[in-house]
Amino acid sequence: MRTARTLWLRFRSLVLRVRVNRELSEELAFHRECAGTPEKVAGGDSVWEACRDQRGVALIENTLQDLRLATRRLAASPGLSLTATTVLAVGIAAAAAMFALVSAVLLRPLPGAAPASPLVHLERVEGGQLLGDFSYPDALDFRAMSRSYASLTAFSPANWYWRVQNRSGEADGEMVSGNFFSTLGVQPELGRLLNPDDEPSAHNRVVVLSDQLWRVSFGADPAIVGKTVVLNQTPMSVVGVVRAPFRGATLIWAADLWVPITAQPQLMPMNDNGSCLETRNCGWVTVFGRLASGVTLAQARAEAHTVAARIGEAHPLLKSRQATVVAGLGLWSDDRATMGRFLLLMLAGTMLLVAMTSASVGSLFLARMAARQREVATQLALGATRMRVARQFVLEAGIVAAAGTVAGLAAATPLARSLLRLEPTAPANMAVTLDWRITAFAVAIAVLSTLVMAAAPAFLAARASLSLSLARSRKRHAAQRWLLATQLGVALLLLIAAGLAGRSVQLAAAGQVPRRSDQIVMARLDTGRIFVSRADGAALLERIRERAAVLPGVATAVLAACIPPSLCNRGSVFVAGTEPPAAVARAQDFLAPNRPDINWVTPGYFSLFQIPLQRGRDFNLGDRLGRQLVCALNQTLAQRLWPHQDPLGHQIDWPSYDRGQKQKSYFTVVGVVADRRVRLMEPPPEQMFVPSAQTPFPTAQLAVSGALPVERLYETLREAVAQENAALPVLQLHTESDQVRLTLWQPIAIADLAGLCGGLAALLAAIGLFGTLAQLIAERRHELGIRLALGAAPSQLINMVARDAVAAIAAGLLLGAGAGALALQGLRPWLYGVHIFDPLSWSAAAALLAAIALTGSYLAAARAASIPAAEALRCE
Amino acid sequence: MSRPTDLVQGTLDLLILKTIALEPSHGWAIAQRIRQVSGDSLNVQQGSLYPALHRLEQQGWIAATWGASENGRRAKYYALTAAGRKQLAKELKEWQRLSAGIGLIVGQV
Repeated sequence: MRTARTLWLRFRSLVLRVRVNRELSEELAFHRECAGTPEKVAGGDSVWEACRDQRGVALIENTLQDLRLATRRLAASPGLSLTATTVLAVGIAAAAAMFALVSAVLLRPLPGAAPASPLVHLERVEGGQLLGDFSYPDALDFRAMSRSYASLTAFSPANWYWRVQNRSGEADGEMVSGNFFSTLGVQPELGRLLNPDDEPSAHNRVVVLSDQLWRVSFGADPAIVGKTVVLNQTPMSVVGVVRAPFRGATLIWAADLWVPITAQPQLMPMNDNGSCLETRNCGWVTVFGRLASGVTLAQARAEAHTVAARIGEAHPLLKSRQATVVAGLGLWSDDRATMGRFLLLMLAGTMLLVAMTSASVGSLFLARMAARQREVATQLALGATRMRVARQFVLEAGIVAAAGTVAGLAAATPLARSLLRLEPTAPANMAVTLDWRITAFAVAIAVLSTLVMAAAPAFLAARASLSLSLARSRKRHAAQRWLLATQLGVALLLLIAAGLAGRSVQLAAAGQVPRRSDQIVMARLDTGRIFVSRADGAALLERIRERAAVLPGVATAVLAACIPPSLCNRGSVFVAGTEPPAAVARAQDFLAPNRPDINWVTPGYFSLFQIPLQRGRDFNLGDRLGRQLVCALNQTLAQRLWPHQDPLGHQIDWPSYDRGQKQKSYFTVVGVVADRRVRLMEPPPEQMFVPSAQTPFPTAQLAVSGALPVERLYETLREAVAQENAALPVLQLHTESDQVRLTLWQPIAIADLAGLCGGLAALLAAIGLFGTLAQLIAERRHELGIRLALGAAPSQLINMVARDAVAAIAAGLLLGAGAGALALQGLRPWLYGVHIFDPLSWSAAAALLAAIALTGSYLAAARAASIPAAEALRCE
Repeated sequence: MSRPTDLVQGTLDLLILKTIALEPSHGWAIAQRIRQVSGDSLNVQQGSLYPALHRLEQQGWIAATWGASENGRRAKYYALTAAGRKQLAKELKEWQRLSAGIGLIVGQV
């Protein structure tokens, strides 16, 4: 109440300034009249002032006055103000966009999920490795045996081909437990969501649509509830539409369809008989929930440990089970950590850019201060306090920062969204919206950069002397040189980072995409989608490959489970005869330190992807079912298994199990191929290849090469599929370079960003340098004129002026080099083939900057020396 | 100009509040009453009085209205608000404690 009243009085004093002032005068006049001193008494005005001060008007009025003054000053040099604002806006937009991504991955809950009590995630761990998913019976056991959760639920991501009358498309979806939506606290937009009654297999043919799919593909049909959508081959009845922006329980996929998890055997057949509902051998279910109130993460973790042990005891034939509980949902904890590290590195880069822009804008302001020496001296002489003079500089910087922040924030979220669109593997379900966190972050940056921009001018103004000559003090020059050195240092750091990142991407890409004249395009084919048996599916894939190989323009067509540089499936293999007993092998499966990556390929795979055959032979059409099982190894695996022998002709045991019974599975080594690096920073993985004809598999990548344009190759591939089976969807059609980009996108993104920041930094350094030098020279015009008049040669003058700059440039480069040695350590995990102290990147960056700086100073000096002596002398 | 150095710090507020507790008054009348009641020993200058009045108004302890004065001129009348009444009671208590303390010390000498 009192605060409101005080505010009202202040507001009144401020807005009705004229009236309040008049009333005050009238009140004082009345007093004088009563006292018998009708005219002004001594000190009357100061009473008036004292009363105004009591009303708190003065502070606000003075600030308003200063604001007006600052605006007018900025408007007086529109070029400088506009440059400063734009430069700052770019920096803030970049930093805020990066922060928006950091916030979406690390800070924000899932889009559309109720924030209530904390969501936690159960992760399956085996022998220190994060496996993540559980089997469905495991998930049910956890739900039955855990007491730590208000609600515990499960889901599994899926992908379907949907069809309604004449419309169809591919969509990501989730197979979910009945309490999935209630656990997340999501509401329906239309109809109802799934509930526990939908989980029993008897009535699980129901589906919920995303708001997005409903609007885009179904025209927001209000009568959608009750209609039928065919997923792959199974008709499902639509029961509702979920409210936007919910798109599922992962950040990775933006789900459009939700079905009961028990519909898995029909909708996403896995395993030999299609169903993963009863067996504990399928790891496909993600378990998460909300902690009950009062339960800590540590308690939940301890309980999960116990429950996992009890499940293990109940099923001694299984691999051991371990589980842990982590906070948050949407990403596995190791993915979140990796992505977080990556984003924080990118954020650090953009923050450096902001520091750089602030420093260069600051140096522009400082340079302009020279022109304002008289003004500052006059203000001080007229009785302005030093604080008030300093405040003006802070206000000017503040206005520029505020304008830059508004513009930067406006650009931040569109920028973040377009960054996400550029990255093919970026998570699809991230909430990149302008929220309070991003706004607060941008404001904090603006405050900091205001301080950086205003610090030197304000400090100098506060210490300025009344005498004009002292305003030219050495101190200001020192401040200018420091700002210049800082700019050069940061620019050097960013340029080195750009050089390192660029070179590492170049090296990595050179190692991934062999030079070739043909194009390669590829697509994923999943015969499970058209619901044929495993054997029929594999046969269909082989027929499609044969047909593709003979289409005009096609050189080679191969099938493979995985295509480089992506990894495939890991499994345990042994030299035949050395394998441990079945029970031990099973228990240790995931503990084995070296589990090679195993790929199913058709003949021609090695030559198509230019993986040199070092010994033995490629697979051929004779390697089929019923013949001797064969395999090829890469060099690393061959050397580990047979260190000092020729591996050809030896046998490998790759055990497989059917209902606990070990199947005979000896593979004879027929070839050894060269290593191929997959992960940038890791040595090449051990790899084993088996012919797909001997291990029929219902899904594969079909890769087609030929001397045709990409679009024609795409058509050819689609044609080959359509001729064999028109219903089989062609998924994820892309080229070989797309495939490389999918693997390398993080280093590429770093290189792009570092290049952009480095370029901007070099440009800003040049701007700051010109500004500073022009100022230094302007102040020495008089002196230069005298020197000229006394007969100094222009070249001598140029040298003299440029020498001034050289010291600052050298200091800046040293500063940048020192900071670089520390800061660039953060880049290490993303570098490939180059060392952090790569001499080429360092010297190139330093040379580039030194060249820019020296050229700049010579140009500025030459301009100064070209002024006729008489004019230079006259200008005072 | 003149600061009431002869007044104990803060007592001016108490004097003003106490004075207008009887009836709403304008600045001149407040100064006069303080002078009369104190037997001419306390003379509050306008340089102290008006800033104090405006401060008290800002704090919400007194409220001002314009009214006609005895001589027919428009004058600004100050009256105690509810918050001001509480503040007066508080300051009175404080003053009694203070003056009793000072009295004890001075009496002992």
